Amino acid sequence: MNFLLRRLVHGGIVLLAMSLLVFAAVYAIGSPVDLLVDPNADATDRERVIRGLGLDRPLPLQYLLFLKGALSGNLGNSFIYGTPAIPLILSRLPATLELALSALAIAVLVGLPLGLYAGTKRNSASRLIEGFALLGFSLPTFWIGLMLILVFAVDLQWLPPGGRGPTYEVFGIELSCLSREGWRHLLLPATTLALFNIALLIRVTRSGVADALGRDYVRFARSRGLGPAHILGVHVLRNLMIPIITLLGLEFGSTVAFAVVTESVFGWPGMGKLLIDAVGTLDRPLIVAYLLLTTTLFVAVNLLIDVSYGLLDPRLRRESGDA
Amino acid sequence: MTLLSARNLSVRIGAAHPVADVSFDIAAGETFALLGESGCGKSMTALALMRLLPDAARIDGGTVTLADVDLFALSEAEMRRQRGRQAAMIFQEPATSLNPVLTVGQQIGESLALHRRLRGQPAREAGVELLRAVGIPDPRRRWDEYPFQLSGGMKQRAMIAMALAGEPRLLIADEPTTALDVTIQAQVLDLLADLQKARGMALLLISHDLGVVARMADRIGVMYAGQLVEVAERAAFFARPAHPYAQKLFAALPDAKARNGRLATIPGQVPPLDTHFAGCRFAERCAAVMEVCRHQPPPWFEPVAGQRVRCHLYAESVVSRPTEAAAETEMPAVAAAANGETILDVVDLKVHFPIRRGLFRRVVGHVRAVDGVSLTLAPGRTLALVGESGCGKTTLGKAVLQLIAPSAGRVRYRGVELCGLPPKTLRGARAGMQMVFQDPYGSLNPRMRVGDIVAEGMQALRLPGDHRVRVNDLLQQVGLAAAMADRFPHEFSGGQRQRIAIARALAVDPRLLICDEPTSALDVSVQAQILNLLRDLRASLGLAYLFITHNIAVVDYLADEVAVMYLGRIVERGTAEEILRNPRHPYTVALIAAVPRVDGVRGEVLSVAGDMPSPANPPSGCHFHPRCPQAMERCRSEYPGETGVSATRVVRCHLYD
Repeated sequence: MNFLLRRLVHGGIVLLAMSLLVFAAVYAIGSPVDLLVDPNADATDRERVIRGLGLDRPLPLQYLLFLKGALSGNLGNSFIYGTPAIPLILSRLPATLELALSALAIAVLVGLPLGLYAGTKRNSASRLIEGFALLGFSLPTFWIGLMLILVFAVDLQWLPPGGRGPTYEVFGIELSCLSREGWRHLLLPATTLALFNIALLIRVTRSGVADALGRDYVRFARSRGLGPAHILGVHVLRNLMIPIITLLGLEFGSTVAFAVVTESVFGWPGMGKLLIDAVGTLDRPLIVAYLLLTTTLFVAVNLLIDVSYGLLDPRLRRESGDA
Repeated sequence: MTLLSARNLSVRIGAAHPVADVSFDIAAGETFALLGESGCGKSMTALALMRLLPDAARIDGGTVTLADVDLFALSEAEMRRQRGRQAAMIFQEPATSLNPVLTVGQQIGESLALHRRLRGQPAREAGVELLRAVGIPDPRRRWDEYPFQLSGGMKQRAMIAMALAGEPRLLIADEPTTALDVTIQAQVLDLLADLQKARGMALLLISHDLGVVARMADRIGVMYAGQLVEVAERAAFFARPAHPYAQKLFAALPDAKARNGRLATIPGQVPPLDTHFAGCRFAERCAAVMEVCRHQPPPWFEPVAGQRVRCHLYAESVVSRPTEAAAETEMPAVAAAANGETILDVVDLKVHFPIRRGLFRRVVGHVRAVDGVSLTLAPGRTLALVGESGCGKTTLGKAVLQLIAPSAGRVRYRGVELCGLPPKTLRGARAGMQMVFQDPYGSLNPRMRVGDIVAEGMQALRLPGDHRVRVNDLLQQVGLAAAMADRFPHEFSGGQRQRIAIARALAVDPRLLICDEPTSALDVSVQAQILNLLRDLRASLGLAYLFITHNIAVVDYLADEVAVMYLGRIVERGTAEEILRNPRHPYTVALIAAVPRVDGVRGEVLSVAGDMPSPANPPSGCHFHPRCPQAMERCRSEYPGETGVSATRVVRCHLYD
């Protein structure tokens, strides 16, 4: 329990530092007033807009006022849309999360088995898998996305080139993975986003398996007559889960972040698109809100990982239980 | 009845043959021991029998028959059915051989499911019964625990239980007690012997330890450089080993008889595995080598019934037989400084590590690693600090050097108080004390040249003189060539690395060396070289040693005085003669009795029960009382004070109040 509390305090500190950093950074880039106010407007009009947005106050005070609002759950109104930033982002969140989670699911379903195979066998197939992993690392996401569109949407016309397709509402959240048509829209962007993670998973799993197979406990298991499938599935995989869960947690964060590019390529209506527009117009409340939300997501996921360590590794369970 | 028969077994790794033409039989219910130093091929032989060789190694000929089944003719799937059911194996490191993320029950359960088709409740019942059979207390609770919750001895017992789950007819034990403390080793060896008797199981014991082999084996095979060189009944072997190599192994053992002399060593090193041998593999290092040895591999001779040896000395034509090597040369007796001068004076030293818990890392308790230790050491004398792992002896050594800040107490080196000195002053003050560590692989920086390693201390203290010249002298002093200064540590063997570590310690002209288990990572013949070196240096430089060890034989050979440590405190202290010949404290008695003897006599062994308690939570009263066979009511509540038994001996035990 104490452990959780400590981690929550840590998370709070991270959020605070993040908001300060973003606040200062956006201020340094330039004033949004130049973009917002009609160039032909006169000085009083400009004054009015500036005062309306609260930009006339000194920056530290602006920050404190922002903090005050943040504590009551209000991160300010978007300069552009004039509506509160959080609901604006939350309305786009499900689309991004669905994309990121689908990508991770694809990565696990493809990367883990390939990695296990490459770690166990030394043959041309395993070298092919490693070569594929290398490609996955080095090819840029947007290029892969365009290529997939060219091949599967334009040439073969199997899948739609973009958009989200029909969605169904479950508990107030719009999801597209519930229909065949929705899946057809999801498949290309999710695969694009998954490719890097597949490569990473192959690498980590392969080296993890190769390492575990050389361990004493595997030799002892073999000396007891246990078969290779049992050893791989029970002894090796249980030990491998720890690095893999860590990796997936960290990758979930960067997948959400990288979704910005993929969403742009596929016209996926997620948060990433919103962010890019907000950066273009220096819509500070929206940028800050977006980054704080992603940070919160990061912190939460990391907390989940730490908790899951306890479940996966009995040695940590006792330590954290005691702490 | 022969259970296992190996014929002309060879193993190949690239061009090397770590096992070459090895043949032996093991009868049902018998204990056969493969004895040899590291790299002789004994473990590789065992792995070949199980067909569990590492990927790089191949079986290069020979046959192995187990219960009339030709193992090398089986497919891998058929071989799997033999493993665990016909022959099972336990390994040296129980800590790494058990899967850390699976419970003991899961790991026994998988074997029971495989070999005895037991699942669910019946498997649990059978498994708990197995845990009980290997002497694990409270087996129902242990069933659901993870390996890290078990002590080292318990892990080894759990590993044995897992190996026995398939009721094998042959158990291969590869150095089963090497990673354990002597009192725990004694328990595990007893257990193996009992299980073997109860189950009529054959045991193939692989060990480098003559004592363990003497205690357990019915017959012994000595391996050298991949070959068996002698196979003999236990009594014959321990009465009179036939092969010159086997004789050297005995002569290299440190003990009290060798006290005033040098230990026998074997010149040179074990030849690399890819050497092409024209004659006897031991010829290059053999004191009794003849012309024929160099170009003709010796055949087997049987000088005594039940003792076969592969050595030309036993051919009919050779008249002179090798005699057992006596201690080589007499050494000058050490000039004992008896004028009351002390070099090291430790008074009531304590090292307590805080245990922190909770949100604000509050200190909720202390691990009392060292809890009130007092010692004195005179110049030129050797004090052995003896105890099992976790007793705090290493921490004490580091606290003396101020490498760990003591929590309380005084450390005086030549009259200068070291505790609380500012770092700058301390650096100069402790130059006279140097440390030699246990692991010669971890204690030398792999990226530094040997010369720089040795010179580092001199440079740090800005000692005058030409450091290069001094390094060359030092390397020669420890038995290495001056030209080796330009090489890197990985080019040296374990024994040579330990010599480098000693040269490094000597570089700043210390008066006191703190040696923390300096030979426990080394083979017997190499250990003898290092002990000889330490002895020579003591005589020529008048060094004092604080010798931290668990090896009683080494203590017997080298130490003037002995202090026995248990759970952070010294329980008995006196001269080596007093402590080792006539131990008083029940723990000392148990510790000395637990050391397996090499004279081949299977004596009555008094073994203490249980494990060492945690120093974070020591038992009330005398720390030893839960394991003590003579514990009294008083021992449960009151820690015994110091009782002077003789002028030189102090015991902390209520028996002597």
